Amino acid sequence: MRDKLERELHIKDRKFIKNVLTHFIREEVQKAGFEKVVVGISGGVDSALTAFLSAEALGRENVIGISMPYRTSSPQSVEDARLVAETLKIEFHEIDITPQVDAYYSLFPDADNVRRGNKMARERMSILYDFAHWKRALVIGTSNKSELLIGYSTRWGDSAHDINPLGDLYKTQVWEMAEFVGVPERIVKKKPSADLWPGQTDEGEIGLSYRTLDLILVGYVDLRLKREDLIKAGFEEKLVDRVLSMVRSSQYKRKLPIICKIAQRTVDKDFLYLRDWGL
Amino acid sequence: MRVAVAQFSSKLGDFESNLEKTLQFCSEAKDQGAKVCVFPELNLTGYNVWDITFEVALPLDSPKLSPLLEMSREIDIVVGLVEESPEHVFYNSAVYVSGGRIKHVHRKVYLPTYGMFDEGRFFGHGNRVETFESAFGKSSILICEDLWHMSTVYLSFVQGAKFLFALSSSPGRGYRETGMFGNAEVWMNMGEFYARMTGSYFIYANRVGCEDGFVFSGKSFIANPYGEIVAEASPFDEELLIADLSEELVRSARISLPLLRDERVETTFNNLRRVLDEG
Repeated sequence: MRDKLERELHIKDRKFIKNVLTHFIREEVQKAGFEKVVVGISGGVDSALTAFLSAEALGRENVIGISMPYRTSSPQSVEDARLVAETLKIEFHEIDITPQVDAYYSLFPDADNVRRGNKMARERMSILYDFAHWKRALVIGTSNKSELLIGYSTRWGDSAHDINPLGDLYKTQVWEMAEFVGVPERIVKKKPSADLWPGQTDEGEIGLSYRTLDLILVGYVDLRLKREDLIKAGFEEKLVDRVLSMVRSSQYKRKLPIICKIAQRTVDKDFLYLRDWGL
Repeated sequence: MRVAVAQFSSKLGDFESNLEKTLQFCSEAKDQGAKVCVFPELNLTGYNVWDITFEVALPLDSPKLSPLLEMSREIDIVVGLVEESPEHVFYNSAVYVSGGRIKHVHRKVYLPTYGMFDEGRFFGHGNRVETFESAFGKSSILICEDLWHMSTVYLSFVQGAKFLFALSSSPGRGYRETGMFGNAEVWMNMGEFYARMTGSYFIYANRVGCEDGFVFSGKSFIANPYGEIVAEASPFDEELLIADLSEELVRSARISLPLLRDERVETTFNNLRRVLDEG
């Protein structure tokens, strides 16, 4: 079974999948009436891959990269964000979010890391949308399938965007694709981190490696295996339970607000139109 | 006997603009000497119509179809649309238009309602698989999921169809093939297999373009009665695929593999009756 899961994660023709993603970006951006996208570039692999795909799909003149460090962000992240922009030769802005975050937390000096991290993610979102309006662009998201499924994101922060090319790629697949499209090796190889506080790593916080996480997720989500099947496939019971419970308890993050039904047709329930209605 | 397959991208819910483009493809097909131009499933409305179903549906005597009927005086056309019956049941239908009139209607029998599909929620299911005389000879139209049920192909076969028009709007999925989505490869396998087993031409018209991140898988093709793919379209682009069909090759294939001659329809029928009786 484990072999099957490994095979299930493997992208056989990365060139083809790159073409799918660039066609998706081009068509969904252009038919909504836009030519440009803004992307928050963190220095990590997800946003680097998104920027590379966007530049390929829309032309480098139509991609605006924004690095938004906070005073505790690692200098390496800032450097790597610059490297992405320089490699692609895209319009690039560096905006230090320290003043706006610190102004707020001067009211709450005891606020913990998670509060501060969420606030940073939402400040970044508000900057991306400000640029989107200013530059007549869509905000392109960088959330991958692994983090979407376990809810490893800030609601209305990094999870808020207009289109998302990576949302059906697991993190390990993002690495494969990033390597293929030519994202600089040091970005592909480095330890993933949300960099919301010093020393934070994704795998440390989630409590298991992306490799294991993705194997469990592809089994549960794509192959619809049961908890017992996954344990039989050799995954530790407590890891399986941990992953499944993260998936379940983060469902709210994947949904828009729920509406109380009163009338015959209700916007979030039986008013069923794709967003591409008329496009 | 030249056929044109229009690998088409629809605007979701915009009948007029889809009709206009359909007519342009028909003109081009006519200029290239085609007798019939075949379009994908629901090409006049877009695929994921959901609640738009009730806004784009047309009775088959609608004046909105007049430009199509006019065009059919110059070239025969197979198009997909939402049909509203006099009883106000809505069907995922395909029509064969020729000489200024609708000559044949196929209402999709099998409406996928699982996974990403929700057709049974909006459409009524057809209950007939028939043949008709197209410009090429005895033909059948089947739509997408119909073809995943061997019974529909069998019914066309035993009625002597020599030309199977297979219309689909197949959203791409699966990344373990080369140069195409997994489902596109399955379609090719099916086309090769069905063409050989029925000694018929299998003329497959699929969509391209995106609807809310569903990237349609293209790769329209024509398979000859020996099960060989003689023309094949790209995975992403709108294009007109042209092939010359020959009645002699149907004859040749049916002599070499006389499956139709030897088919025991009564045995099938008796066994079906028995299976039904036995519950």
